[in-house]
Amino acid sequence: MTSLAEIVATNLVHYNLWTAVEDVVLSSRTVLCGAPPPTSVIATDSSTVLSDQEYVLPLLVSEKLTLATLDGIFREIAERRAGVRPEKVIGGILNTDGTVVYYFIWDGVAKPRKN
Amino acid sequence: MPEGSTGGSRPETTPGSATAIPKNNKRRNLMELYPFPLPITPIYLPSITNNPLSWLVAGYAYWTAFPKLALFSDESRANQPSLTPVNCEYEYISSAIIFKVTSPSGMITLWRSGFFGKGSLSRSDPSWSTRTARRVMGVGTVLTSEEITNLRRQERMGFKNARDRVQQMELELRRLMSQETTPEKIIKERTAVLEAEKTKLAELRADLQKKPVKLATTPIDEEIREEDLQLVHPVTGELTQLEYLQLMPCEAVFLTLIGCLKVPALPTSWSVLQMVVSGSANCEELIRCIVYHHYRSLGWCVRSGIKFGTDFLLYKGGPPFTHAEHGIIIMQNQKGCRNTRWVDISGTARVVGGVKKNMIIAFVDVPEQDAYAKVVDGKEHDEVKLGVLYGLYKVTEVGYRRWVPSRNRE
Repeated sequence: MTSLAEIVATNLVHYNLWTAVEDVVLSSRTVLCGAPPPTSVIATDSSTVLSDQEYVLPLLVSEKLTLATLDGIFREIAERRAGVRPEKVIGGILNTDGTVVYYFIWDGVAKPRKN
Repeated sequence: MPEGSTGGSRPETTPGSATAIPKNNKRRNLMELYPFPLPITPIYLPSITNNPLSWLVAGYAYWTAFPKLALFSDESRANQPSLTPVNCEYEYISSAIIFKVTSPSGMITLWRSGFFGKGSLSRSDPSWSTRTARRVMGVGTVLTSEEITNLRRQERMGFKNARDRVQQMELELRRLMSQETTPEKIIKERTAVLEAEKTKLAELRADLQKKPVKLATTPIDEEIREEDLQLVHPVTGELTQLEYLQLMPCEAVFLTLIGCLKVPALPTSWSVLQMVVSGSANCEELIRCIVYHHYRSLGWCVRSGIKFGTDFLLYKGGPPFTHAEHGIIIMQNQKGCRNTRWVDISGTARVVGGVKKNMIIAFVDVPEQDAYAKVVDGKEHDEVKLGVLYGLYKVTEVGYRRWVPSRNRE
């Protein structure tokens, strides 16, 4: 039996070529932590360059998410990083056709990206 | 060129179709690669004319085709691989159910005939092992659609970087010009350099907009990751196949109904349907199955529209042939269901319009729960039941298009 986190992790490692993807078990769910490939710079703008440690929150497309849940996830991750909240978490949403789409979930206001 | 206007909406080039072929030729090649809109192989019989000779020919053809009709024995079915249903397994991922086809022949059959399913590690057709074999072991020469997209992305990135550089130079020059102390000569020199760079940039832009991808494959000096090494068998040196073809529940129901798919634990399409629906008449998955069936029956190639925020995308032919023409969002005649707020509809319409597709609202008339329950609990045979149930629903569609009075006249 495969879990949602495993499917998203496989997608990250073998489709998007991330490395060192690991489970981070939180109280309510499992998130993933890993490093994007060095070339995955989204824009030349520094605000959207991915760091070498990104958190990915596996989600189902049918799932309902609340701000409280998200805040809890940021808080629990912070506990593991000496109280530092990550600037963003990436939502990895699994669709019924097997596509995983990724969206940034910023912890507050983010600088707009240059197109 | 902004990312949003091109990303994702490009027609996917298929393995085997080298990109430099002229258009008509390419289309013919595609027709040869994907001759059937469903995983069913028709038996061609000659026509009967007034000429008695044609009766003989036709008689012979019918005689030989007869056993292939597979109505009589399972043995004859076995001789006709396309009539053998593809095997499919299912698995639960928390509350979702996923349908997997793992046999290589099954994956190819379902993709090539009607573009069913999606490679779990690919954008559409299961091409992960081809891509990975090249990346890790350096074998193979045919570019997959994902690799073409990547090359295009790199080209665009190169252009954007060059554009940034030119903009910086321009700023710097303006700064110099505003200073009285700058000697005339320097300004002249800098202006000349800037003009040259601008011409180069324009050339680069023109190159980008040219259709065929440059196949000058840049040598990929990516490092082989530890994760990749684990994929290669230490003794045989073979690549582990991680990919499977995943079918949406509505695809699984449709394919079992037409006899092209077999889920061992679920003998009929009705039992497949029962696995994915909740038991209420307005169950979203059931409605998806009905809308999917509706458009497949009309001959469209229906695929998921998640990338554009729609329920489905409709392709004429299929992804390798053309861009999707329509984005479908589903609406029901029920209170409190999705897509009933104008704000949502207008948001989706802008995205769909932005990638040059029509937005269509598929409006589904859902029957009363009583009528639904009557069919579900009814005594009909399972295969009949599904048809009766679908008959209770009615799908009508409305096209939706943003219209700006001051700009458009039609």
